[in-house]
Amino acid sequence: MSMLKIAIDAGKCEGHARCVARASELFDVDDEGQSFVLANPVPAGQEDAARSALEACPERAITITEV
Amino acid sequence: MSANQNPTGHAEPEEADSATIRALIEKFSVHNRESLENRDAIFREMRESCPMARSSAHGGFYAVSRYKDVYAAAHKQDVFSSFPVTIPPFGNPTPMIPIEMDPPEHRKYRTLVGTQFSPNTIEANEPQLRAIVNTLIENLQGRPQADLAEEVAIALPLRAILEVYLGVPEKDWAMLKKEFLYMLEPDPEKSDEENNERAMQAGLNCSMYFAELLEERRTNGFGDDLISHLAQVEIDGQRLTDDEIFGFCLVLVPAGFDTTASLLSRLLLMFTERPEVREQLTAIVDDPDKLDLAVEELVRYIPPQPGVARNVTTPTTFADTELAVGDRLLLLWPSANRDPEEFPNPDELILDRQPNRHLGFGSGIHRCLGSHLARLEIKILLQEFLHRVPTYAVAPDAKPLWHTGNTWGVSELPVVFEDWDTVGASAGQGE
Repeated sequence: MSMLKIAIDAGKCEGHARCVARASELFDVDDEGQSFVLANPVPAGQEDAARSALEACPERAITITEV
Repeated sequence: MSANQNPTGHAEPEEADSATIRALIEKFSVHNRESLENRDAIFREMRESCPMARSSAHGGFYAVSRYKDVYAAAHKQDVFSSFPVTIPPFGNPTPMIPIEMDPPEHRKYRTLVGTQFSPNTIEANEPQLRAIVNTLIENLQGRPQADLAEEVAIALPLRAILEVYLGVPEKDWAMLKKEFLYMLEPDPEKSDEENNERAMQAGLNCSMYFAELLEERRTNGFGDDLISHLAQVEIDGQRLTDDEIFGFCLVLVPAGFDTTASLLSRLLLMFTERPEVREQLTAIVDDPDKLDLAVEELVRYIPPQPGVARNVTTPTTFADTELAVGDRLLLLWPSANRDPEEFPNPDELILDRQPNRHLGFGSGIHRCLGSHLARLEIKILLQEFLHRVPTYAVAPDAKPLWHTGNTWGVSELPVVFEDWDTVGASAGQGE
């Protein structure tokens, strides 16, 4: 069974934190507001949340790949 | 699919013909009342037939209107400088911190306040912000009429930044607001020179006020407010100069209230023009996940800031246009947010819109520092206001007063309320 893996391009992330708002189980922000991934690969049942986060990122900094 | 399929129903003047619109484009300015009143038609015409439109206003500039171009320009620090960030410029000799700074200095200064405006810090301020909202609503309760711009839309973000962030005493809020509005909303009837002179004086007055505040904190001990924080931080082992501290405050205060005030005032006006918007928001306001999407859509649909400037520092070709050093661009966020290439049915307010990569908070390294504060202010206001304030109409003998400037919004919104008894039962509803 394939799994989803999330990556954030740190060079593109500007701290909008939309990923955290859409998928708080999968993303968090550090003290300065930069996002990081909490859970990789994406746990079962969180796939839609992961896609929602990707679609919400205004900097297009998130990629999701099937592994 | 969204439940909301209503077209835009702005209570605006009838749409002008295309020759008129083209003439308006040639003198487009965020300080021009005709630009504001015809914005939807102007932006549509720009996107469709002149995506790098040339305006002759304020010495001339290119108006960038398509989503992909606005987005690209916001990420080209290598050829576009953010100083000055307005057209016309404020006239400050050194860049405003951090909004007019370019890399690599920008990051050093921006990082100083990153924690203060991070989602986690903002979340911790939630009780204080909710208390402010409650006070504002209690002030309205039972009254036949009110000015919702002055008493809610402007008051909430003004108090949030002055009270919660800077610890400014209540007696000084009105004075600071007035001075800042000279800078942000120049009188469109006056010349650039006259407005500039008044804005410089206002900047000086505010700097002097912040100087007193800083002196008072240095004497009586630092607190957890922003000025105390800025007085103690270091860049490369050096404290900020006093001028840098005032400079920071001169940006953060107006950026903190005039923007959110613009969105809230336009939203509260929209409730009178399109009652279904209020009904749709009321239906989802207690669902945090749906409210999260709805707030983003509101920021897409009624972004406060019409545009920011970029200045060409290296000759370049951008959007099929040859640009020379010194050429100026105005990045039109509201136009980008209505680009059908990026947003299906862009003129519809679709509260559960996804994807929604709007540019209402800007994009790139200058992404709105206060965006998380703004989102929370909007959310809390909706949660309290929709359940506790009855429907209302614009007062029969009055009309809303729109303002031009570096934000577009409503500065006077006189309304008469329906029966306050109708909302008593649902007060305090929610999660």
